[in-house]
Amino acid sequence: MAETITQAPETVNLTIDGKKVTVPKGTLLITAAFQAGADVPYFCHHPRLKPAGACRMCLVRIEKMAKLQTACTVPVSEGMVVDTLSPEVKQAQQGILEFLLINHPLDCPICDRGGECPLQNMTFQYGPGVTRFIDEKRHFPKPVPLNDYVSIDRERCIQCSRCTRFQAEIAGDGALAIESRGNSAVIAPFSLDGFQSHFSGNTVELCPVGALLSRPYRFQSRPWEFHSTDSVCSMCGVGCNIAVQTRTNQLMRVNSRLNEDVNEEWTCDTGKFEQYWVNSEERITTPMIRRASVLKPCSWDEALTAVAEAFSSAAKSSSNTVAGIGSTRTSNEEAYLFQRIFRTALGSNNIDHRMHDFPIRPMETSLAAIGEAKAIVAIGFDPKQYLPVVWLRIYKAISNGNATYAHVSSVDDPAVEAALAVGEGAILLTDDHIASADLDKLTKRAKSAGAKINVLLPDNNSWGAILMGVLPDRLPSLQPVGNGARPKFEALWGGPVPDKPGLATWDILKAGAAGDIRALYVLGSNPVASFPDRDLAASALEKIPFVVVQDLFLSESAQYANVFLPASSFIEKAGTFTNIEGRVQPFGAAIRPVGDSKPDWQILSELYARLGASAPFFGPADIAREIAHSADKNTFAGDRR
Amino acid sequence: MSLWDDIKALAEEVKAPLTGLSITDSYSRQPRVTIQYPDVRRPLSRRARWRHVLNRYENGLEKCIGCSLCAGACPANAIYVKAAENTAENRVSPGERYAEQYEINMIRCIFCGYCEEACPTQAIQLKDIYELADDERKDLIYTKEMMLTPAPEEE
Ligand code: SF4
Ligand code: SF4
Ligand code: SF4
Ligand code: SF4
Repeated sequence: MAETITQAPETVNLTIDGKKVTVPKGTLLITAAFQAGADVPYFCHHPRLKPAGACRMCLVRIEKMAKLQTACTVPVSEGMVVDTLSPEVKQAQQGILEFLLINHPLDCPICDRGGECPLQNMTFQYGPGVTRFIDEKRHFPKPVPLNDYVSIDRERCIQCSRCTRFQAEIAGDGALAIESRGNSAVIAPFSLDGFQSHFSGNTVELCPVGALLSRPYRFQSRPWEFHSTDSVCSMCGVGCNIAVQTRTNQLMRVNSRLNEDVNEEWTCDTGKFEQYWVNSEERITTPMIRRASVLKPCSWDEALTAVAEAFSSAAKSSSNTVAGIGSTRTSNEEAYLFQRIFRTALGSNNIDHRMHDFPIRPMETSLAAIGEAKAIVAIGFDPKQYLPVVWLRIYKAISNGNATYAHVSSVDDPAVEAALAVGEGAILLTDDHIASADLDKLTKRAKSAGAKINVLLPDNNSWGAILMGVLPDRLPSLQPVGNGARPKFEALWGGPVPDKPGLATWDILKAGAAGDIRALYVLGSNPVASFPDRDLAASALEKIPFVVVQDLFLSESAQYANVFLPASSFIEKAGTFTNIEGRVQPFGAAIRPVGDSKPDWQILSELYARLGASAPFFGPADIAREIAHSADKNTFAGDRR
Repeated sequence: MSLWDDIKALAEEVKAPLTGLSITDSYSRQPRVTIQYPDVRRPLSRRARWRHVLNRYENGLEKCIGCSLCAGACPANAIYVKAAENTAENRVSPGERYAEQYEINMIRCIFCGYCEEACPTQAIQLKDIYELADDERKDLIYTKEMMLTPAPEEE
């Protein structure tokens, strides 16, 4: 029975620079050469892009072949003998570099790529040192904006086609193309409307020269001047791993960081270019207290004492008159501390973070599994807009596995039926706006078909807020407040926890508008702008006698605040976020808190001390330790690297 | 001890200061090495390395292109450069980039001249300006305005 014999993966043996290597069949020669420890220079090759052979930098000598060959396009074959060091190869490398530099301006001192530029490095290592070209170089107008984020300096482009291949093969939009041929070849947007892509920033990182440039980062810093801190993107639920690069206590640039399970090596443009709000001049960085109906700057002590007094006196009369609305953007540690304060120091379960009711359902597959699906349907939302990096997985499935993909508005769309017919390997994606009835219906159908459903939540810590217990009826780890897990938390927190579910956001606002809430804590959220019924939110905040808003900016809700507490952004503190998959990812503090602002955890910890807690928390790690101790394994495991 | 001995001893006593005075006298005829600073100043070597200046081209544009290579070369980490983009309305240097802010902390500087060596446009030079003492640390952070040579029309 031939088909039951497990076949060993086919391998190929070859010799590179006298060293024998064995690699899987189909491997590109350049990859085999790296495995053999050979140093083959290249520009256009990229392991995630299809071979192009565009830059000719990786020429090597292969025995029995008449001419030098590009290692990045030749698959290995049995018995190949390869030389990467011969004088002939050296001469070719020098020739190629001299050729690439013929039209290159070499304005490294003012080039944003200078210092981390592959062309600089290759020229230094393999280049000829002098040029024989003495004529006038090719000239183009210096950087031309392609869209809001990226501009191009066409003089510096070496036509490696990494950018065009990325847009076509990974982003799937083909937004860039090579225009003209030969000496006049330039990179240009495919569309007349410019570089229309959610992923244009990746080409800036891929470009081996300073041709594609980040506009916000332009001339902000040299690569050796900033400090790079490992962080996690704060803009959506995917939780792309990023490097936050800072100088003079300000954000300079966001680059992506490798994580094969989450974002591979990509980010979307929102993550790369839309986090400069941390540098905003409009941030409020001193605490403020309302005096004679205007918010006036005050000391931290004054502000926190006022908050502590208002909340403890309201809670003393009835713990039902205090409430808290948390956020999907604060860290796990902060969300945890927030609910702990409400449940123990104020004895109230009136705590929530949701702006509308939605089904709480973990993803049934991992993010990476989406890239291997056979049929994908996005129901009711556009992944490209909503969670852009999820789209890259979807496109991977489309381009690699020939998966079908549809983006539909209703669960009854025939495309859903067609995907379910595929059975195993079908993945249905939906967001938190799906109606529970629809989801139940879908679940039944998916279960019988063997398909998977992923309900994707929008924000960087939507899952964290849920799993940390910022819910009126759930303790951390989704434990219902009424059930047997409560005594465990009571023991840990050293006090009773109310066993009746509290008010959800909408009930808090209704009670507020009816005059039943005396003190409201708005932590990092903005109900007046994001609650669907804005009038209700506004009239509630208007009516509630004491509102404290903790935020970075004077939001719509802060207009109603009695006390405003200035919080620090995510790059000014350490902590963890939980992404849509439930993966807990740590981020580090890149800069000091701006002005007098304080990280949310610190504000909460100082408030907790004023409310009579025995032991304050001195850092996010203290809180994380307690969470790890209290939560069940699945809530706070994941990537704690 | 005889009287003669006393006379000899006295003669020795008298001779000693006279010998000393004659040495003083011989030195007083030699050329002087001290100068009446600050009324008189010693000429410095052409290669003396003291405080930096930021040069201009003849047309008044600044030579500095804000590239930060000087800051990168500085072993004392004394230089801060913040670059910005030249525009048609506000052209400060040739090309695309200029230094919007340029500071050297003279307390940190060890006058090694590496910055001058790193500079691709010969914008920064260590000159013979050595009177740098001050009693205020803040004033020892030299700004671009303090180091820039005057523009032609300002002269
Ligand atoms: S792309 Fe590289 S080699 Fe070209 S000017 Fe910029 S830093 Fe220099
Ligand atoms: S713009 Fe950059 S990535 Fe694109 S072809 Fe030119 S050099 Fe390559
Ligand atoms: S002279 Fe030396 S120490 Fe002083 S600023 Fe220049 S490089 Fe730095
Ligand atoms: S002084 Fe020279 S090295 Fe320093 S930033 Fe200006 S141009 Fe660059």
